[in-house]
Formats: sequence, C-alpha cells, structure tokens
Amino acid sequence: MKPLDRILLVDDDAVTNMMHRRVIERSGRAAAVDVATDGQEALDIIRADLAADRALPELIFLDINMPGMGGFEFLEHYAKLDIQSDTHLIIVMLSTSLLRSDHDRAEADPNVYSFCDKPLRLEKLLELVSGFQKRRDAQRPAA
Amino acid sequence: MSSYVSFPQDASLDAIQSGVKAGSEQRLSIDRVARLMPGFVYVFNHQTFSNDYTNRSVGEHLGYSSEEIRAFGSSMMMQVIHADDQHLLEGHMARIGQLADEQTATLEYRVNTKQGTQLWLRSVDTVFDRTDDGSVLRHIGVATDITAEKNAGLALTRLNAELEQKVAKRTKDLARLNVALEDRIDARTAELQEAVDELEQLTYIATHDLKVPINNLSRLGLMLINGGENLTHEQLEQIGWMNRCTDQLSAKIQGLVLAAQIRLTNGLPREMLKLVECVNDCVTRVGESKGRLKLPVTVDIAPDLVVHFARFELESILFSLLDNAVKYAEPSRPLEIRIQAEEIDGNIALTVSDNGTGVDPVRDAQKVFGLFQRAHKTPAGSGISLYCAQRMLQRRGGAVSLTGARAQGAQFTILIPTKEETNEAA
Repeated sequence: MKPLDRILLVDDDAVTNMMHRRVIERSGRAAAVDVATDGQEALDIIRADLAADRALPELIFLDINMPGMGGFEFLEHYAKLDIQSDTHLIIVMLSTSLLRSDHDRAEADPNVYSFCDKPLRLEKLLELVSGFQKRRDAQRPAA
Repeated sequence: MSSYVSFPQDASLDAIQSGVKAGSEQRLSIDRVARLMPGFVYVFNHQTFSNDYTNRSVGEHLGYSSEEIRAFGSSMMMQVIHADDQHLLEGHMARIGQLADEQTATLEYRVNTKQGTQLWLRSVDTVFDRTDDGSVLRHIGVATDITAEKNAGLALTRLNAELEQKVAKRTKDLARLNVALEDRIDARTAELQEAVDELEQLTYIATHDLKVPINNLSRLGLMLINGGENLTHEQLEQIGWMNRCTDQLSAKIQGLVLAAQIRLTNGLPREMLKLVECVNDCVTRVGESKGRLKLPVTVDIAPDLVVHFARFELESILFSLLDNAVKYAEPSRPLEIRIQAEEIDGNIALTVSDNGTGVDPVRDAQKVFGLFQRAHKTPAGSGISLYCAQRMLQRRGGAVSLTGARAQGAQFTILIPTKEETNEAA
C-alpha cells in the first residue's frame, strides 16, 4: 500500500519526538514527518497548509500536556478551522496520562480517532495507518 | 386603700371644702364633674382613716351591694385589696404624709371583685388639706382601672420570659451542636492530616529510593557510550536519547523532592521582616544569578512596611517571582519590572509586574501554578518554583494571583495576612 504523505507529531518532549520519528521512518509508512512542540505550532502548520491550499497531514499524533497550548486546547481551535468535510485526516491522542477524565474527554471529541500510549510502538503505528487507509478507501467513491 | 373605705355617703365636694366660694351654677358643675369622672375620686381623712368623700362606691363597682359593703365595715380594705398587695398600703400612706403641696404619690395594686376576678387600679394621690402643725389632714385621689394595660404588660412580660427561655434553650442546643461539629471537624482534620503525612512520606521515600536506580542507569548509559566503539551511529544516538531521558527523570524526581520538602519548612518560625529590605536583597540575588546583571527593577514599597512570615519562604517566593519576570522578558522591548506593596484589608499585597511575554490569567493560571506545568514553551523550566510559592503562601493563610495578558506582560500579586493565621492543611 502506498505510504502516507505526511504525519505531524505534536509533542513538547524532544526525545519522544526523535523516537517517534525513527519508528515512523523505519516503518516506511510515511513520506514525511513534521514536528510541532505545542498546540499553537501545530495550528500554525495546519493554517499555513490551508492558506497555501496544500494537502493536510493525514495523521496527527497529539500530546495532552504541553507548555503553552496543550492538546485539548489545540482540539478546541482545530474544531473551528475551515477544513473540508471530505478531508482525510485522523488525530490520535498520545499520552501516558492515567487520568480517566483525559480518556473520556478525548473519546468524546469527534475529531479524535483514538487514544494510545506513549511511546508509540511500531505495531500500533502500522495498525493506525492501515486503519486510516481502510477508512479513506471506504469513503472514496469506487474508482 | 383610701378609695375602698367607701362608706355610703352623699357628701358633696363643696360641703367639705368650705373655703370654696362659688355660684350655684359652678357648684353644680363641680358636682357633675366629680360624679361623671371615669374612675374613682375620693378624699381620705388621715385622722379618721376613712373617706370623707367618694364620687361613687368602689365596692359597688366591684360587684358588692351597699349592704355587703356596710357589712364589711372597717375590714373593707382587707376584703377587697388583693392579699399580696396589702403590704404596699403602709408605705404609700407614709409617702403621702411626706408630700409637699401639689406633689403626687402613685400606687398600682390589685383588688378582688365579688365574682372572684381581679382588677388592677392605679391611685394618684395629692394633699387636700393640712392640720395647723402642717401634717396632712386629708388627701384627695383618683383611682383608675388599669386592668387592661396591666394585663397587656403582664402578657408581654410572660411572652418575653417564654421567649428568653426559648432563646436560652436554642442557644444551648446550638452550643451542643457546635461542640459536636467541632469534634467532627477535628476528627476530619486529623484524618486529612494523616493522609497528607502518609502521602508526603510516600513521596519522600519513593523519590529517594528511586534515585539509586536512576543514578545507576545514568552511569550505565555513560559506560555504554564510552565503550561503544563497535556501536553504529544510530545506536550511539539512541543511547544519547536514553541518557537524556535519565536526566529528565532525575530532574523530575528532584522536583518532587523539592515539592515534598515544602512541608519540612512548615516549622520555620515567622519573623517581622522589613519588606523593602527583603525585596532589595532578592533583586541583588537574582541579578547575581544572571551573571551580575543590573536588573531594571523599580521598587515602590514604604520603608516601614513589615510582614510576618518565615524569612526563607518569603525570600524563596520573591526569588521565584523576580526570576520569572527576568526569564520571560520579551526580546523585542527593554525589560521593565516594578515591585510595589501596600496593606489592604488585613493583608500585605505585593505585586511584581513586568512587560515580558505575559500570561493569560484564565488560560494559563493552571499551568503557571501547577506542579511540572508551564505556560511557556521557552525558555526551558521545571514547573516547580511557582507551585512551591503558592503552597508556601496558602499554608500560612496567604495567596498568589495572576493578572496580565499574553504578549503584554504579567502581574503576580501575593497576599500575606497581617495577623496570625495558618492553613496547615493547604
């Protein structure tokens, strides 16, 4: 299957970002990896894509606790962006948070595809990518 | 009482007051006045100890016939005046004997009616005439039925007494409830204290015990790199990341130890501290910590303003606030810091204002004061100092609050109570 064009990592922890980038690069399932170190930077990237009429990242891994704009605040702003309904993009919340309330809040957000533990494992990445592709193919009109 | 010695007689006022010289019309008028006057008018003779005049029979008013009254004879007073009030008569008579002309003496007393009910009367007496030696020969008086007002007064007194009883009972109930409530609060406080102590002990032990394996991990990482001639570039890089994680872990644990240790400063004694001196010392210390930098700080604090606080804690709080103001300077404009303080409503309020990168009081408050949380991405920080500052203030009845706006600056205000107050559970 053709790899994804772009994955966006949103996390303030540098080592976590390097590890995730390596897992993704080794999997060969994404052509490019972008990194934002808080919600604001991620929003800036998406807004720039929209403004330039570029394709958005297909998969966003979003941390919850970050200095500046955290994951949930990012989701509030993301919901207000003018993103077309046929855009194929999934957001996966990445956290080690043990708080039940964090899980509930993430699951209640319609823009959150799923919730998974940090650090990201290869198997989980493959599962998410293939889940995304099946979903995209199901939504596409039959060629 | 004189008015009750009510011999049936028809003496008229003019007959006994021989000195009155008046026409027949006026005599008739005085008679009418006396007869129609509501209440009993009487003239009592101190020599015969009986009434020389009454305008109507008190006895009849009380339900006794003329015959019955006659039958009472000289025991009339004893018959009609309430037994409990008879002792008042002697004193009243003595008082009348001492009256100057136109002075009055008043007495309120109960009388028994034939029907067995009680009436209250009020007699107001004054001297009518005197003997040659000046002593009182007769007094004139008027007695009024005050049963209604007396009963109302008595009812009021009774109600008051009942009310007082109720209040006393309610007060007692409340006192009992208060004691019960205090007992419950004490018990709950003790439970909470125990939980807090246990939690902090746990944190302390855990963090200390965790340090050994972390230090070992850190050492092993270095050993791997030092002996890693045969490792690939990628493997070396990963070992580098591992060591960074170890450092992060070590820093977090150090933070937890610091936060847990705040409790250990609990017993530090409060001192009377001159605020302006503490602030100036702190400005110097923060400047030194930034490489002997002369800080752009304006201090506006009255020289005699003192706070009652633990010196170490106050210095630590001031250092955090000032250090943050310097750390989060906005690079595009020269930093300005202003520190001012005043006494407001029983608190010393000290504000540190800056024109730095700023914070949003609503969005950022939780991150600013939360343990390991930070409102800014850069520069790096541990998210510990303001958490500790807040805890130290709250524990001694104080507070810290935040105003300002992102990109415009921040104002941190701390409140320190001027009077003793502790909040040990905070």
